[in-house]
Amino acid sequence: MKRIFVQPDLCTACKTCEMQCAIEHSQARNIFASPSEKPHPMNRVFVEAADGRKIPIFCRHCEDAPCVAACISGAMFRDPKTDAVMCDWSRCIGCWTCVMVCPYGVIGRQLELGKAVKCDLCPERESPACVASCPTKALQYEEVEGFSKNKRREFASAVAGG
Amino acid sequence: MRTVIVGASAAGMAAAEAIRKRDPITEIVMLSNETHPPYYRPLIPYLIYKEKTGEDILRQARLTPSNLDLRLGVRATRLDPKNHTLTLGHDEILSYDHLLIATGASPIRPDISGLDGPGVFYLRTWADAEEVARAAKDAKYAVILGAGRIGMKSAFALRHLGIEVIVVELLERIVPQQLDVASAAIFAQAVAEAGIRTILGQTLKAVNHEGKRVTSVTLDDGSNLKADLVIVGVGVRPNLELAVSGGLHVYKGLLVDEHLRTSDTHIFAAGDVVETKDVVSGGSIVSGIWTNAADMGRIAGDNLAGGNSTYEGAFSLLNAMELGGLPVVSVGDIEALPGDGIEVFTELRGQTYRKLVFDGDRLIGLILVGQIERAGIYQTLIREKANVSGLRRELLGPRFHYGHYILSKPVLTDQYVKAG
Repeated sequence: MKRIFVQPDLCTACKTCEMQCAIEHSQARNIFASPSEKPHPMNRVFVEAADGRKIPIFCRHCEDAPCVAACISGAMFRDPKTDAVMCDWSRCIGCWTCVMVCPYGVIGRQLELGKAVKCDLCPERESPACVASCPTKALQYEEVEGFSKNKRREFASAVAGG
Repeated sequence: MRTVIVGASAAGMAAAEAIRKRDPITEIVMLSNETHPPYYRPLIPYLIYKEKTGEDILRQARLTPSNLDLRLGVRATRLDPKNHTLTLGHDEILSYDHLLIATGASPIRPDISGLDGPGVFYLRTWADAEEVARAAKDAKYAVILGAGRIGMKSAFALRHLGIEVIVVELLERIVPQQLDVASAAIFAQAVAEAGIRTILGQTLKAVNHEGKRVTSVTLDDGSNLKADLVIVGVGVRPNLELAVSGGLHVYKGLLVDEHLRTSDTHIFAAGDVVETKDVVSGGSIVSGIWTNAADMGRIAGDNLAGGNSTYEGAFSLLNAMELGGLPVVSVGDIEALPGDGIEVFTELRGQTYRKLVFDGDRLIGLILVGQIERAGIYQTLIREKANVSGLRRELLGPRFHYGHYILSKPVLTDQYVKAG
């Protein structure tokens, strides 16, 4: 199971990851054609800054994912192959319960379609578009072996507990 | 070992999933008194105007725990904790080693003349929605009692079908559990634009019939409204009959400890039937909220399978919805008044509204209308009772993000980096 890892010190907030994410999830998948598409292509990763420091924020595909547990329509589910948390648009009703429960604030709203938008780890690619395009290698796609599931759970509660 | 789960909705299913996570083979029997297979209850209003079919609201296999002995159309009528048995229907006996009571809640039936007659509906089950859909076919006028979520969703569904809809609400605003005065005013406009009339500050005195048909309703003030069908949505009450038959301790709901265990060691409970602690105020509540039910199910299921999970409590308010094209998220205590350590921040710009309620260094309540992005971070801060004194300025702005939170604490940044 692979996950996206971040090294914030390498991030220059160039936002290439945001742009390539949106393009990857467009129809044309082309930097010239994609921006004018309807529905508007959206990024699922967000480069944020605070106190002069930068950090890309993206879906952690939580083990006990609150968005999957809370979804009232059966749209959110875990893909058994990639272990990624996915949103099935044929089921999504745009109630935004997932937006309300995501502790990282990384579920967006596709307003034209009324559907929830989130990271899917780019299932058609070997490496997610954000990682592949990061010019400083601040993002990396690696096996999680070193990080047991327990570790991830501890992390989730530590973050939530502040 | 046989675990029996009574109830096949949010809590029951989440519990079965949690049990399966720990134990792939133990026997799980799940009972549902409904004849329809497990489905997503919040979606039933879509059946009224046929935007969705039954197939669309079914719980899919990918979200159903494996190896479940699911028995539909079966009502557990009696509980015998001493002998570890349930009576099903009239006389069938089912024994259990562990039991989960997730019997849910039923609509409150107010004491109003004529409300028991034909043409009056409660919207709680798939079967209810089908009945409303049938009745709506020949209806021109509908009256809905209660401007809560169910009432308003029904109103929009019926309006969609071209029916003249009037919503009658006892309180002075719509969706009063989830909206304050300012946000309700925003939605009132959207509701009016959809062609739905609302009458506030009144209730029904009578539902009037002619033969087997509803013809009108009479309001408190004596005025009459034409009606071919009436929907009542004034809240729910927990289904305690089974718990009471077994002598379990109940008060407003089925009483549980912090592991969601009832007064009997072998019996747990989860969902709308449970009386638990308000995670914000610490007071006692019975919650009818899907997200709380799923959360309780997960904890109870883990404990049923030998775990030691603790339930921190439910939100009295934890709802997101879109009504008339406008999204809203409401969490926690949205009604606390300023003073005595409470600070209330509001900002209204057109159809965008933000309300944050602070109790000292804690965030305790939130309403976001229009722009609801990143609401989950606020929700988590409320749930975890986090000290937000260093984040006050960021929280009040519309661009608060997770980076603000973790970059404020090196240990959190470090964990985020390592977790992948």
